[in-house]
Amino acid sequence: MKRNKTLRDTSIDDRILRQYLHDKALQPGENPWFTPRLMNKLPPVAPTQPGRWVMTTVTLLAVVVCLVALCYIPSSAVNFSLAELLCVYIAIASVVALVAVQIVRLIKTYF
Amino acid sequence: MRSKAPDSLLISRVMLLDDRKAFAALVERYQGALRRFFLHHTGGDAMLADDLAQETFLKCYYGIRQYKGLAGFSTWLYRIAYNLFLDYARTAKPAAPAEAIPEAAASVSTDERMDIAAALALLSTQERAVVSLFYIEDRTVEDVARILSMPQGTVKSHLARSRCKLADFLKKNGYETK
Repeated sequence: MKRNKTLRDTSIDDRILRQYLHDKALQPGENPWFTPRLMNKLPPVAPTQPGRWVMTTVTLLAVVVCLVALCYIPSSAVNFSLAELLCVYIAIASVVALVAVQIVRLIKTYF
Repeated sequence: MRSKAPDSLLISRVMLLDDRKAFAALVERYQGALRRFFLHHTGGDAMLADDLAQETFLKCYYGIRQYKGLAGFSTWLYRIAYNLFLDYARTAKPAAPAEAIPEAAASVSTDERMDIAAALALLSTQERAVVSLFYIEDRTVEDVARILSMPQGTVKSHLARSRCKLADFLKKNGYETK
């Protein structure tokens, strides 16, 4: 069954209210100290950790060395002894581990 | 000078680099709206409004990594602000200045400039939040529902109830529209 509902026109109320509230809305006064005061409440910026920078630089260098080595091995691997090849693969494995540690660190820091 | 960088850029700088300048830019951008929001909730107590706004920004700073970007940053900020105000109202109820407002409302004569704080004091905390967000901050019903964690239907019914109460107040105080 259809119900014949008489709806009240609220648009007029809305208009009046909006006008009233906009006209009389309380406005906060200027407070130039608001932001500086807040920034002072924040914890001090963590000091830069030299160890971290060293680690990052070492990782980057290792990655570059690793890439150069990877480019060099295929052409000269034939002349390598087993011990030399083993050394190269150990070096690559170390670099991969180093990069993995850095990635895990990043994930732990930001997520 | 105010930063023109988009919110998302400033937020990611705060998240990843703990960039204080970016956070200060966010504070500068939203402090006015947030202080006004609290001003309407505290019956015009500017000091209290500023303290609550500071507390909101502190919470925002510590929890910024929980912001997932599903809603606008301001929506998320208002949500923190509203929850903070509810906590404040729960703990400091006897001293809340809003309690004294109805008396002020009674003393307002038709000739005097009407006090919006008196009008808002007639509403419940939820109604006041809905009215200030919808009418004063010009947020949509959807936004208001998200900020106050309530269904859109509830927001609409709060709006309807508040409209009746405020319309009565305006009539009693002889408010005429041009």
